[in-house]
Amino acid sequence: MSTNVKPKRRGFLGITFEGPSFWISWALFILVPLLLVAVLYARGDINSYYYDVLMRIGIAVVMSVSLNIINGHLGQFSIGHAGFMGIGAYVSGVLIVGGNPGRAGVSLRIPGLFSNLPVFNIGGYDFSVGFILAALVGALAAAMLAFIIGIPSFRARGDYLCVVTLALNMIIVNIFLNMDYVGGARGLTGLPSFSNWIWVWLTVAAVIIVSRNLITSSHGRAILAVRENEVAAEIGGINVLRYKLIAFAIGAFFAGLGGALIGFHVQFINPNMFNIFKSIDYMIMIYLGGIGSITGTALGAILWTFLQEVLRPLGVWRLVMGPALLIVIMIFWTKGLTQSELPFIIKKKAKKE
Amino acid sequence: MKTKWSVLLAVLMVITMLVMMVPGMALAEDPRDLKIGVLCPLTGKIAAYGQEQKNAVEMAIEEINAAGGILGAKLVMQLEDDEMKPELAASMTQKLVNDNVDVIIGGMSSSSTMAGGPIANSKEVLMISPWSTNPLAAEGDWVFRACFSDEFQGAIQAKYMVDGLGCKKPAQLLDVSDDGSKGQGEVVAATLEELGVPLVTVESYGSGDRDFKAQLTKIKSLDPDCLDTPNYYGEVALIRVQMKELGLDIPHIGGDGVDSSDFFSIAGDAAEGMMITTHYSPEDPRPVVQDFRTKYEEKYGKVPDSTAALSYDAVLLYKMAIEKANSFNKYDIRAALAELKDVTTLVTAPSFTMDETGTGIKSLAIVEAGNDGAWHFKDVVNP
Amino acid sequence: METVIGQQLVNALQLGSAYALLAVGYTMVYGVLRLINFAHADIFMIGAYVGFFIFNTFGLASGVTAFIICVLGAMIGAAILAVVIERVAYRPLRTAPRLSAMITAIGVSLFLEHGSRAVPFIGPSFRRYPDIIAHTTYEIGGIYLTAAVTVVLITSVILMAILSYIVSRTMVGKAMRASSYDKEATQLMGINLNRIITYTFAIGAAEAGAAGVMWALVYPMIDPYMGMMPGIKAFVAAVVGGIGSVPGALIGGFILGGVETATAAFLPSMYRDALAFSILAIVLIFKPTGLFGVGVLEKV
Repeated sequence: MSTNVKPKRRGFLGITFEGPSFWISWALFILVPLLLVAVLYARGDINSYYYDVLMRIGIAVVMSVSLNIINGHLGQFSIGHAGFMGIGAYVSGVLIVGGNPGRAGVSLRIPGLFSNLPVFNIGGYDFSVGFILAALVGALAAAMLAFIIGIPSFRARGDYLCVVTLALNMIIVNIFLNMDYVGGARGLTGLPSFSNWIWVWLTVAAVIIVSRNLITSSHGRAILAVRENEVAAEIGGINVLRYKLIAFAIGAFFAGLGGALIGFHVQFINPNMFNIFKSIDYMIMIYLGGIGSITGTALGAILWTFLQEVLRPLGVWRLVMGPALLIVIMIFWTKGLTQSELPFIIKKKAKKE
Repeated sequence: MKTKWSVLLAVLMVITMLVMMVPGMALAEDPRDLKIGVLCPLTGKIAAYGQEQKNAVEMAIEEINAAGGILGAKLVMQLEDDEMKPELAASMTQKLVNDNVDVIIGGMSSSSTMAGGPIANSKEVLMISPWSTNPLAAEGDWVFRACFSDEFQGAIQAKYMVDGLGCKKPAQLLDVSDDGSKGQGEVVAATLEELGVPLVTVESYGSGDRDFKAQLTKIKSLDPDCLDTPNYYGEVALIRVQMKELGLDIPHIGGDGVDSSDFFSIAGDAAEGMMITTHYSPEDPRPVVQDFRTKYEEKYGKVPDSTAALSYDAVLLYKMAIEKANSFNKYDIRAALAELKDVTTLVTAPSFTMDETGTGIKSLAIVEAGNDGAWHFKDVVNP
Repeated sequence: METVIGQQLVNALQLGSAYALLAVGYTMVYGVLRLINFAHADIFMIGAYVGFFIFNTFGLASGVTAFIICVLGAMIGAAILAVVIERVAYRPLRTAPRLSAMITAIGVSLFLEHGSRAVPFIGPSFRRYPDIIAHTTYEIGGIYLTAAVTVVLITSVILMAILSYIVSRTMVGKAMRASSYDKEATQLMGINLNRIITYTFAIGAAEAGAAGVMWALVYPMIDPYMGMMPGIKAFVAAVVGGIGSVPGALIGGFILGGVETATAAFLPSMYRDALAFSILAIVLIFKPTGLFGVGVLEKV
C-alpha cells in the first residue's frame, strides 16, 4: 500500500479496475438500477409501498455511508448524525414552502425563496430546480454547523465528542420543537413530492464515490492516520484539526442531503423524525455492516432497513427480534459483517488443526 | 474496497429490486368485500387509545356483518400499527393503500393523520380519522373526521374557564413536543386573549418528562386561579399528583387527550375534581349511547371512552355514506360523506353534520372526574 | 420568593439524586471496561417493575418495611439481570473493538425495552405505581414535601454512602479502581478480572434498580420506555462529572438535576432541554475530561 504505482488488479469476470472497462462498469452500476426502478415505477409495476421501502433504504445508505466517514474513516465517535439530517430537511423545506408565522389553524405561508423556480415534469416525476438548490443549501447548512461545532469539540478527546454530538442532536430537536415558524411539534407540512428514486440513487452514488475517493487520496491517508494515532499524525506534520473538520463536515453535508431527500419524499417533516433514536438506528447500521468499510456500511443500512420491513408480519415481536438478531450478529461477527474474521467458532476449529 | 463484497453489494441491490417487483401474493378475497384499513397507534404514548380504536372498529364490523353487511358486502379489517410516529403513519398509509383498502379509519393522533393525509389524497382513498382534532388534520378532499376540531374545542375550553370557572388569572402547562397538545393550547391561549383574560404564563415540558415540579412551582408562584393542560392522560395524571404534592389546589381543566380510564388508575386520589372537554360521556342517556356502552362493556370488559366511541362512529359514518350514495364507487361515497347532515344515529353526538373541510359539527361534552374512578357528565355545549 | 427557591431546591435535590444513582452505574462500567452500557437505563426500568410486582404479588401494606423489601428485591433482581447480560452479551466481546461492544449494548437495551413491552404481563401501557410509601404531603415553612420524596432522599444518601465506602475502603473497591486504571497490570497483581467485572456490573445495577423503585415512587407511572430519557441524562451527568470517577458521577447527577430545575424555574421552560444540554456541552468544552475526570496520560 505504500508504493506509488497501483498494480493492475484482476477483478470479477476479468474486469480490471483500470481503464475504460472500469468506468463502464461504474456507469452501469450507477445507471442500471436508476433507470430500471425509475421506469418500472413510472409504469406502475412497482407499487408505492415497495417504492417507499426502496427510497428509505437508499436514504439509509446515504446516511450510513456518510456517518462512516466520521465514525469509520476518521475514527471519531459522533452519535448525533440525525441532527444534521434534520438541519438539511428543515432548511430545504423552508426554502421551498416557506415558514408559517401564524398560529395553529391559520396557515399564512410565506412563499419559500426557491418556490418559484421551474419544475420539469419528465415521465411522471417532478424535477424541480428549486429542490436541487434547496437540498444543496440545506446540506451546506448542516456542513457549516458541523464545522462550527467541530472547532471547539475536537479539542475534547475521543469519547467526549460523543456527548457533544448527543447534546447537539437533542438541542436541535428541542429548538425545532419550539420554533413555531417551522411548525413546531406539528412539523412542516405540504412539502411537494420532489424527491424521487433518481435523486436518491444519484446521492447514494455520490456519497460512495466521494467516500472512496476521499479515502484513497492523500487527504484520505491523513484522515486514516489521525484515526490510527492522533499524536503520531500530529508529529508527522498532519494538521489534525483541519482533517477532522473536513471529514466531519463532509459527513454532515451528506446527512443534510439525506434529510432533504426524506423530507420531500414523505412530504412532511417533524422534529421527532430526527431525534437521538434515529441516530442510534444509523449507528446500528454501520457497526452491524462493518465499520470503516464503505460496502459494509451500505450493506448494514440495506439489511437493517430491509429487516424491519421483512419482520413486519411479526407485529410487536418485530421490535424484539431485530435487536435480538443484532446481539447475535455482534457476538459472532464482532467487527461487523464485512470486517470480521471468520466467526470465532470456526476459528477455534481451525486452531485445533 | 474488497472486490467480492462490492460485486455482492451490487448483486444484492439488483436482487432486492427484482424481488420488490414481484407482486404481493393476493389472498383469496371476495371482490365484493369492503376492506377497512385501520391506522392504529398500538405502541407509544397513546397505546391505550389505539387499543380502544381497534376494539371499537372490530365491534362495529362484527355488528354490521351480522346485520348483513353494507349493501350486501361484508367488511374485513386490516390493521397497521403506526406507533404514533409520523413517518410510520405515512408508510403504513402507503401500505394500506397498496393493499387496496376501501377506507382508512385513522390516524388517531393528529400527527399521524397529517402524515397519512397527503397520501390518501393523492391516491384518492377515503380517510376518516376518529380522533384527530388538530385544525390542520382534515386537509384535502379525501380526509374526513368524526370529531370536531381544536378550533372549536380550544375555544370552548377557554370560554368555560372564564364563564364557567370564573377564571381571572389562567395558567397553562403544555407538552411542547406534541402538536396535538400544542395546537389545542394555542387555540385556548388565543381565545382567552380575545376574552380579555390572557394567560399569566405558559410553561412546557417535553414528552417523556415525568417531573413537572419545577414548572408547577413556577406557576404556583404567579398565583393563578386555574390551570389548563391540553395534554395526554399519562402526563396530566402525574401533573395532578404533583399539583397536590406542591399544594397547588386550583381548578384544573384539560382536553380530550385526558379522557381515558387509565387517567384514574394513574392519578389515584388526586384525580377528583379535574374537568375536561371531550367528545361524549358514557352516561349520556340516549339509547344509542347506552346500547353501545352495554355491548362494549360486555365484549371488552370496560367502559368505552371517547376514542372507542369515535372509532365506532367513524365506521358508522362510512356505512351511512355508502348507503346514502347507494353505490360502491368511491367518488360517490366521498361525495355522500361530505354531504352528511343532521345525522342522529351516532354515539358521540345527538346531531352530526359534516362541514366543508370534512370536520364534524357536533356538540362537546364537559365532564368532571369523580372520586369513583369515572368521568361524570357536567355540561354539554352545542356548536 | 424564598419559598419558591426553597421548593425548587428540594425539586432539584430529588431529581439530582435519581440521576446521581444512575450515573454511577454508567461510570463504573465505563471505568473498568471502557464500555458505555446503554442497557443500564433499562435495568433501571426493570428494577422499577420488580418493585411493582413484589408489592402487588405479595399484597404488602404501605410503609417503610414494604419499601425496604421492594428496594432490596429490585436491587437483587437488577444485579442478577446485569450479571446475566454481562456473561451472555458483553463477555464474548471483551476483546472486540469497544464500539462493537457498545452496539451490542444498544441491542440489549432495545431488546429489554421492546421485549418488556411485548410480554403480556408488562405491556405497553402506563401502569400506576403502588403507593409503597403513602403519598402524604406536609408543609414546612411554605415548602411542600411528600413522605415519598423524603424517604427517597434519605435512602439515596444512604446508598451513595454505602457505595462510596465500598469503592474507597474495601478490597473489591480497590480492585475496581485499579482495573479502571490498568486492566493488564491489575491482572498481573493476581486479581481475577472476570470477578471484578461481575461485581462492577452487579453493584452498578443494584444502584440503578434501587433508583428505579425510588423514581417510580415519586413519579408513579411506569412503562417499558421509562428509562430512556433518565438514562441519556444520567449518562451526560456521568460524563460531565468525569467518566470513570464515582464521586464525579454523583456530583454530575446533582449538577444536572440542578441545571434542569433551574432552567425550568428561571428561564422559559420550553427550552429546558436545549439549555441544560448546552450548558453541559460548554462545561465539557472547557474541561474535556469532566469535572473530576482523570486525565489519562498518553504515552507517545
